[in-house]
Amino acid sequence: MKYLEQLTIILLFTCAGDVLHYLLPFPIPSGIYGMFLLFSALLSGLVKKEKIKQTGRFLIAVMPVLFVEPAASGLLSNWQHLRPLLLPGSLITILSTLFVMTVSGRLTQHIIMHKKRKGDTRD
Amino acid sequence: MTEFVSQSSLACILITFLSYWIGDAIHKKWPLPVLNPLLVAIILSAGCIYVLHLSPDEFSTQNKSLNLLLTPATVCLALPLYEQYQLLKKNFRALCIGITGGVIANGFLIFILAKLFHLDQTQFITLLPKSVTTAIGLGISEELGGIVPVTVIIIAFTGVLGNVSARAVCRLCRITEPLAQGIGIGTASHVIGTSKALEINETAGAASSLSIALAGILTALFAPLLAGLY
Repeated sequence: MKYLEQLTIILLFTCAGDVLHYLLPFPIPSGIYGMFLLFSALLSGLVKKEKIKQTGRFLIAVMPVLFVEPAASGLLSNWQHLRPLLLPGSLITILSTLFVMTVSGRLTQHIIMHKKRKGDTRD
Repeated sequence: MTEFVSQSSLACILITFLSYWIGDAIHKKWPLPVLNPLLVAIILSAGCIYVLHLSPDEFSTQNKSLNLLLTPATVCLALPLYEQYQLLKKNFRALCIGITGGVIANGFLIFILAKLFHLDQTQFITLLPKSVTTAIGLGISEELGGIVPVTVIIIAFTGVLGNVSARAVCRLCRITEPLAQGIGIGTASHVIGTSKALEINETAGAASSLSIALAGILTALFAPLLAGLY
């Protein structure tokens, strides 16, 4: 019953996210709305962490498995659109992904380290 | 055989599970970054679809019930976000600047490379939302006139690439601060990268979860501008 209760709470927030996605005009997916709703509920104490912990962790752990099918069937069924983009698309994707990871990571690290060095506790 | 499998949700989901399980077992035996469980699983299940003469669309339909879990799983990313809240709040400005910098760098680099490869505007737009989570990226591509299914594949490819290369990039570029690792991984490779960030550690995972949301929203605002310039 514990898991059922946890899953129910998680689905409740997922549905609330769906409702927001339906009502609001922004191109933001329901999962992101749901994530912020659940986050606010946790912060405000409306939902205790223990009430969703095990099921939440399970869902996060199995997440990579959920990407297998969309990638595999997408690859096979859109081959004809993909072919002309294969070389430039792959190069652009590889270069920009590695570049962005480096820029974002280094930039964040630089600012954090800078703040630490200054011994600045404000933010 | 083909007929049975294409009619059976359980058989198709089993193919997905088995592929991932084998991928994971291979990764445990030979822990090389290229033998990423997700990557191996994608190749194995695509191979199964091909060998069993299944139609990719049928395979996708039979896996629907499994993919229903994706949105609740995304919602659950609130959990690491909440657990690391104090740390995130303390460094909020740094994290926001890191994410914004990444989004802008991404947009301009794709812009320049697309010009260099003489891609047309449709192809440029198709590539532009590659680093954001599928649901947001799909919306951007659709709104600006890209080829939506191709955007979806490129987003998945980007995610897998980020997932596979995360540890190596962080090591090579000496990104050692967990928060910074998470921001880099999440901004570059959305949810699929985030699952790797969560493996690295909880703090990186939380920062990465935050990046998915912020980078997604910022890209949605920034993309129309770049598309207009192209």
